[in-house]
This record gives sequence, structure tokens and C-alpha cells, in this order.
Amino acid sequence: MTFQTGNVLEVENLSVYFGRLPGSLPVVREVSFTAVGGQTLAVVGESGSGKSVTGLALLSLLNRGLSKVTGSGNFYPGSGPPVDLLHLDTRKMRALRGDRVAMIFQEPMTSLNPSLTLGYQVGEALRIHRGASRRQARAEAIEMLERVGIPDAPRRADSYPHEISGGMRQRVMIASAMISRPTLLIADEPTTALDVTIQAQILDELKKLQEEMGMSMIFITHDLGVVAEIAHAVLVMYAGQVVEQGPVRRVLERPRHPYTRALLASVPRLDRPKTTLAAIAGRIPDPQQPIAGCRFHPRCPYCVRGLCDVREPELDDIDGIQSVRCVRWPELEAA
Amino acid sequence: MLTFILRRLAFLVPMLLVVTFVIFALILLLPGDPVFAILGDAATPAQIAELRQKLHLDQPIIVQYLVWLKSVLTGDFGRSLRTSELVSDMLLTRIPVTVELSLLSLVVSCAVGIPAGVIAAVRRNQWPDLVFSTASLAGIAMPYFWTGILLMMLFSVHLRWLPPSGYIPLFQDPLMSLKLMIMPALTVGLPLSAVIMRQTRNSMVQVLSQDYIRTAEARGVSPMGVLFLHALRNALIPVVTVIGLQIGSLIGGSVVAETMFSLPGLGRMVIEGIFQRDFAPVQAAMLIIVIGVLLANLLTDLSYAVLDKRVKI
Ligand SMILES: Nc1ncnc2c1ncn2[C@@H]1O[C@H](COP(=O)(O)OP(=O)(O)O)[C@@H](O)[C@H]1O
Ligand code: SF4
Ligand SMILES: [Mg+2]
Repeated sequence: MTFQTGNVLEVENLSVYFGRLPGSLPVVREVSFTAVGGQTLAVVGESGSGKSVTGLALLSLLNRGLSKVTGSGNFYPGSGPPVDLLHLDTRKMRALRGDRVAMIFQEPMTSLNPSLTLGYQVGEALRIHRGASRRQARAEAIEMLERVGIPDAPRRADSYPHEISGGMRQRVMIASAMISRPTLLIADEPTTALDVTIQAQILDELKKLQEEMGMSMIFITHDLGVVAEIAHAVLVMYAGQVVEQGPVRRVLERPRHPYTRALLASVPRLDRPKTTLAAIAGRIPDPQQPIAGCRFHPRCPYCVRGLCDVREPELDDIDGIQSVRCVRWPELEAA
Repeated sequence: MLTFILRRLAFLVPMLLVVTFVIFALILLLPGDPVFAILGDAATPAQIAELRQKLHLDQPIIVQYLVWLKSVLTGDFGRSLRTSELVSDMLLTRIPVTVELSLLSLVVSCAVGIPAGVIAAVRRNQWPDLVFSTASLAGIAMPYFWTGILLMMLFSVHLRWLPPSGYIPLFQDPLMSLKLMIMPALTVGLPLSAVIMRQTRNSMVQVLSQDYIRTAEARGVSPMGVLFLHALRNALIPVVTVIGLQIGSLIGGSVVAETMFSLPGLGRMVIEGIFQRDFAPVQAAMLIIVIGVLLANLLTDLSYAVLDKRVKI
């Protein structure tokens, strides 16, 4: 296995538009980030902030007729030259999917095919990309099912999705994504639909596999609470934009953006009584709705009229490792 | 699985009894008296009374039914009043005709309906979808005899490719037999294919928007693999139900097609018998048709269980 340590994916100015109407506003706006080998980048934000669209765009899984994707996404597949995921022809993209780049989804109940055995679905990537025989694929699928903690794996390989629980299905999803030992895994809220105990187990499993395989992971979540456990770096998204990014310790310990602070404050913690749980007032805007100035200003407690609602803030580099999109961050920091 | 089949088969028996009794009674209630049909107008009252007694026509319907049932259970279906032929011999020559026609019609309807439905779903709201959907509306609206006449005009009169009617057993001259069966099978199969196409299209559209299709794409499955391995399996489940529901019209269509194309099948046996007040063949043919429909329904349920893994039997 190739243990990649350098950059695995360099995304620059990724924007996604829906609708062919001229002048339609992007749902994802000039998002840039880097995913590093052996590390996890958490993409955090409320529901509707464009996290899934970002992940799907990277694998060209958005309906091409209905969407437009711009920007670049240089991917280093381990061997061979880098390829731009956002400008890749269909065949080459298909060859990468499920092989070098894998993706798992939020809904374990509906993301597995009800008519195919678990063993087939887990081994399918090997049959497609490695030309594995039915028996080889099945044998490796069973091994992978064991690794993700499925009891009685040989029997389970012949089961169908409806015969196992949601937590088990998500393990199967993970097994099916990891079987090809991808260079990059995009995990779109893989634990959101599960209860807390199962969630913790699945996170551990993912982390363990990532370390064993040295893979890079983009972990999409709306829950800043799980970020500390799994991520090395964080990207906070709001209404289609990156509003803050940096190493996980820094962002969690010294959040600079009012939105990140609000998100952190809304994470339930043992050392804080539940009553002070601060939810963010207001709702996330429709990404296609034009907003003058800072996109967070209608909800921001620090908003200053005449400043925040006039000019759109840039993503400011603070110290080379953390950046923030807020015109007032230096004064808020001082206060 | 086996217990399911046995249970269903056991359940068939009371159902058969009820259905055959209703058919039996309806046939006897038809206007026209077989005695007159046999003896003609010049018969004396004594002759009439004697024949009535011989045919048990003087007994209540339930008694006649039980008498009939008893002989059927011993394999005796009686004789045709017109030709004196043993009804069981008639059945032996006619069942294969209807079975061949029904199976070929089913093949036609699936071979046309399923691919058309898949194409319409993939190209939904584009021209192939519009063409197939319009054609299928026309196919559903058209009566069987109308389809049959159009086919005859096209293939027999105009192109002269196919003989207009007749029947040759499959094993006697397979090629000729199939040639003679093409038009009848199209007549029965095309309207059914229209129904299958619509159901395939709709369930395929629905399945293609499911999360697991996106999972397959994310795994690098080719478009054909997504369509046929991942989507069609699931999309066919409701299609099988629809086919099961259409078995009745398949039989109805066969009766029309057998009459139009002079095929000596069970359908024509029923029609001829009714017109000639020759009831023994009618009752026997109806019994076989009912058994066929019930077995076909059982088969539908079984294939449903094979396709839908969530159904445990
Ligand atoms: N296929 C689509 N067509 C139009 N709008 C879409 C489509 N998919 C997502 N969106 C919009 O894009 C925005 C971001 O969605 P999404 O990426 O799913 O958010 P998140 O994953 O962060 O919850 C939402 O406002 C959603 O309505
Ligand atoms: S720019 Fe103004 S409105 Fe926007 S986050 Fe900063 S303080 Fe709040
Ligand atoms: Mg999402």
C-alpha cells in the first residue's frame, strides 16, 4: 500500500451552480482546501451549507445537465501524475471512483441496494476495478466485513441489507468503500443517522482503518462535537462559503469567526449545563439568495451596520495556518 | 418456500370449486336448450324428456354440478354432443395451442415493454419517452381485434410475409408453427407490452433516483451496470405484479386471437361450444382456463418472492 504523506487533493475555487439560468448564484462559492495523506479534514456546517454538494461535485456525482461546476481539484492518485477531478472525462472519472477515491453517504438505510447481497456490494469495486473473480471478490469482501466488525461475516456476505441494523449497514458501506484501499475517502455524515453509541463505534472504526491504510479522509458533518475526535484540520462552511479553516486544535480552541463560535457553543458538553446551550438564532439562507456584504450578517450578534452588510469579507490568512472570513475578527479577538 | 407452495395449492381447491360452480351455473342459464340443438324442432315430447333425463337436465343445478364434478375427478369430461368426440381428447390437442399462444404473447410483451420502458426512463421527458409513452397509450386503448386486423393487413395482405391464419403444431413444423403464431402473439402481446412499458418506465424512474444508485455510481459502476444490475432488478418488482394482474386480459386476448386467426385453442373451444349449445367442451375448457389462471397467479407470487428479497415465504 502507498502511504501518502503529501497533499492528496488540492481544491481551488470550487463553485457549483444549479439551474441553467444566466445569473443564477452558486450554491458552493469558491471553496478551496487541501486534503493531506493519512489525515482527516472535517467539513463542518449547518444543514444546507453546501457540504454534500461539495463532496458530490468532486466525484462528478451531480446531475451534469442541471449543474455547473467550476474551479480545479488536483488529485494525486499515489502513482502517476495528478489529475484534475473537476475536468476529467467520464471514463477516467469512473475509473477513479470506488478505486482511488471512495465515498460513503449519510443514509445507511437507503444507500445499499436492497436486491444485492452484502458480499456482492462490498466486493463490487474489486470486480469492476481489479477484474477480480466472483470468488476472489467474495473472499476479500468477507475479510473486509470482518475488519469493520461485522460478526459472522461469511454468513452475512449472503445476507441482504434489510436483514441487518442501521449501524451494521453503515459498517457495510464503509467496508464497500475501503475494500479498494482508496487514496481518498469522502465520508458524507456517515454517523448522523445513527444513535450515539453506534456513532462512536463507527468513528473509531473509520479512524482505525484510516490509520492502517494511511488514507486521506474528508469527513463531512454538521456536528462540531465529533470533529475533535477524528479530524486533523477543519473547514467551516456557511451558506456555500468557507468562513474559517485551520488545524483542529486551533479552530476548536481559538475560533475566530462568530459562526464557528456559535457552532461550538451549541455543542452539548458535559461540563456545561444544558440550559446554556446556545443555538444560533435565525436560519441558514437559501444559497442562491443574494446577500449584501457578509453572508452571515443577518444572524451575526457582532454585525455592525454599514460595515458588515456592505462589503463581502475576504478569507483572511491569520498566521499561515488559520484563515477567517470576517472583517471584525481582529477587534473581536482583542475584546 | 415448499410449504408456501403447498399451502397455496391447497388453497386452490376450494377456489376452483367455487369458480367452476359459478361457471357451470352461468352456462346452464344461457338461453337456448341443448336438447333442441341436438334433436331439432321435430322431436316428440317423449324424445325430449328422455334426452333431458339422460343429460341430467331435469335435476337441480347443484346436482348436475356434482354429477359433472364426480366424472371430472375420474378424468371423464364427457363427449361433445355435436361430434361425439371425447372432450378429454379435445383438451389434449387444444391445451398446447393456448399455452403456446399465451407464452409467446408474454414473451412479446416483455421483450417489447421492458426495454422500451427502460429507454423511456433513461431518456425521460425527451423524445424517446414521448414516442414510447404515446405509443403505449394507443396500445392500451386499441381493442384486440383492431390490432389483429391491422397486423393481418400489414403482414398478410400488404407485405405477404405471413400466412393470414391457421395452425400447425410446434413439433410438426416449428418454423411454420412460429410463423403462424407471430400475428396472434403480437395481437395479444402488444397491448400488454404497453402496460408493461408504462410500469417499467415509472418504477425505473423512481428507482434511478434512489440513494443506492448514487452509491453504485460512486463505486465506479458503468452506466449499463447501474441500469441493468442495480436498477432493473428493483424496478421489475412492481412490473411482475402488473403482469400478474394482466393474466385475465391475456386470456381474453387469446380467445379473440384464436377466433380471428383460426387457432384451435381452448378459447375457440369455449366460443364454439357456446354457439352450438354443446356444453361439455365449454365446461371442460373453462375448468382448464381457470386452473391456468390460478397457477399463473401462484407463479407471479413466487417470482415476486424471488425478486424482492424482503419478501420471505
Ligand atoms: N440537485 C440540486 N438542485 C438544486 N439545488 C440543490 C441540489 N442539491 C442541493 N441543492 C441545494 O444546495 C444547497 C446545499 O445543499 P447540501 O450540499 O446538500 O447541504 P449540506 O450537505 O451542507 O446539508 C441546499 O440549499 C440545497 O437546497
Ligand atoms: S463580518 Fe460582521 S457580520 Fe460577518 S461574521 Fe464578521 S462580524 Fe459577523
Ligand atoms: Mg448533506
